[in-house]
Amino acid sequence: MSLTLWNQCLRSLERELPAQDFNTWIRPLHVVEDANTLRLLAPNRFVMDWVKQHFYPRIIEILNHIRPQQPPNVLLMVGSRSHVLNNKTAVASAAASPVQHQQNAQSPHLSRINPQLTFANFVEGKSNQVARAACLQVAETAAYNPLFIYGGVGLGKTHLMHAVGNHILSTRPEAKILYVHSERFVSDMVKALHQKKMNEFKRQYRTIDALLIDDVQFFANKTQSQEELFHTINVLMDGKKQIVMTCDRLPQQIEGLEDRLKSRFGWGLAVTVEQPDFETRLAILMAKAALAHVMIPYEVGCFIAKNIHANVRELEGALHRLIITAKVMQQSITLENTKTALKDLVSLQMPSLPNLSLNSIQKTVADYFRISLSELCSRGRKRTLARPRQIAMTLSKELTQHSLPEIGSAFGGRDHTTVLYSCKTISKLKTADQQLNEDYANLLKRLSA
Amino acid sequence: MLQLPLNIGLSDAASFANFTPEGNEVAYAALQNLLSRQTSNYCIYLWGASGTGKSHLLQATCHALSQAHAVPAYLPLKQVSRSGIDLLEGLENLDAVCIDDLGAIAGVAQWERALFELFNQLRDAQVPLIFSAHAPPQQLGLQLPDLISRLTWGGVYPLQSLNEVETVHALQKRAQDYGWTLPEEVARYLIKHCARDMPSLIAWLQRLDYASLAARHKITIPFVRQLLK
Repeated sequence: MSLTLWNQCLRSLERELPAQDFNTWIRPLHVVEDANTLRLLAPNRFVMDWVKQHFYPRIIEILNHIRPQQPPNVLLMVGSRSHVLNNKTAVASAAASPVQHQQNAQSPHLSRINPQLTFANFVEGKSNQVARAACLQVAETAAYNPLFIYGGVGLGKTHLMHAVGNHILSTRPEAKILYVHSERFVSDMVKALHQKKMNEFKRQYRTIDALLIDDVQFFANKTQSQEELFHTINVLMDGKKQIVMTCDRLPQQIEGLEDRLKSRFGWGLAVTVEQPDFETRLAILMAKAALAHVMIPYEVGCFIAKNIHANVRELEGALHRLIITAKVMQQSITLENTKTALKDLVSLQMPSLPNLSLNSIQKTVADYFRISLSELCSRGRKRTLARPRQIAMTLSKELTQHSLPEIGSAFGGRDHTTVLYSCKTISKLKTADQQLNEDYANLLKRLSA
Repeated sequence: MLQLPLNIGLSDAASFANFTPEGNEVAYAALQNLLSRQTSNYCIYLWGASGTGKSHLLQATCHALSQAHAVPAYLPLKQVSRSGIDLLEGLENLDAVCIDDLGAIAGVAQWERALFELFNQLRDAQVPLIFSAHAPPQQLGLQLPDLISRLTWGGVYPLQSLNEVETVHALQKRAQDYGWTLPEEVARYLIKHCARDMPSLIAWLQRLDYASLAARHKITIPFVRQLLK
């Protein structure tokens, strides 16, 4: 009955309000009827306040007009229908609602492990075989604690982490495992602080058998969260519970992270996941296609793997698009169709330059900055040498298939972490330093010519 | 004497029925696929120039989901980003989230982080997420690589502007929805003499509708010429 009532109200509002306002503020409201009460549940306090301020009086007016004999009692609060249906007490007050979400979300029995991400469907290649082996050992024998997996975005770190969780659960189904993203850990903690439920928060995070925490670089500069994470790690480690972390860089390179945390992160084993090479990309693509029950010809796989090489997510996105295009056009997947369908995606990628050697990149960069090749690869730390060197290393990583250790070795026997650090530095400077950005673009042009 | 027509407020909600998919069939199908859950994918990214139908498709998605008693949200970031990231809280409890004008927050670290977090939460909760912007993720000026890579995950789909014939059809279709017939020559005249993007043309269509009712005049080229003056 109330849904009909609300639907009538919705129809009136839809006619009266600009489409954008209606879609932004009115559509996200869940509606629940209780006796003669209409509960309008906003997803968050901001939406609730906005609706209250701009639309609430009109809503009341419309409802009173629709049902003048028995106008409903309208309550506007924060919450969601599924949650209200599960637990009626949760809507007792507007403030109580989000707390309840959080409690549910934090339950240690909700592991948040994705059952589809296993070792069985993780495609192994040169770029990730060490990390995979370490993860498997951790899952089987808790060999390293904590296990720290680091590398760029979209390369399979999260997949490996879930695979550890799934493997542990397959051998010990009773194990309490929790996968959490760092941002979520932080926001859960902030909410727990606001709600004065820190003891509950601590209990939930400290009474588990394995904590899988993703993207720990996001703890940088969050002092209070770092403090909490530090104690959580201590308690878990003391209890011989497994911790697995992922990050986009080595612990020592996370700026804004306390030294004691860096040291904890580095206690066990740190393994890297690098950009997949052509063969691995091809294998990943074929595996993803098989999962989607789609057969793609080998040459099509080669074309995509050769031309979409930034990360695995882009590869997956290209596959989604290819499948849908074939379906819409009612065509089979051929090399020609693929080239047409993915034309814009391919052009977005960095130019693929299979013949570009590290040496030619070094020469081009040295010429451009008017320094000698030996200076470029020297130990000199002057900015006039260090910056071109960092740019050359970054270009080498972007434009060739060489691994980080290979690049480091070509630049005067440097460590792979130096290469990684250089890439990060240049990536940051490209947005902050216009001159450097221009230099980088010019060099890219020269090398692509 | 002009007669003022009663403003009965005909709903002009963007819907899939009044979208012209010609030239954008793949993007359209990808969106339909996502909504009908015929895919394991939970996100798509639409991009194109102004007037290519991005906002229309996102609002049509909300409309279609509401018709099916689902609860979606539409966030045009150009308008709402000033409100702050608190707006994103709790969205994982909805049935779909449509984020328009993503470029409006490019380079704003706090927003990029918040959207990254939202992406992760919605993916965990298996809630469809639809983005739109004026450029592909790699060229939007976003600074957070973690967000950029996620935006490409479910497929990036360009939207093309309609050509003249398709625009004529789209206008005629829209006029039909309003309950009247738009002669082809009038549609062509409008396209030639007004801003060619669909939102402007539709605004003219509505003005034309109102004016013809008020003047009780058939919609002809001289009438339109008079109105444009």
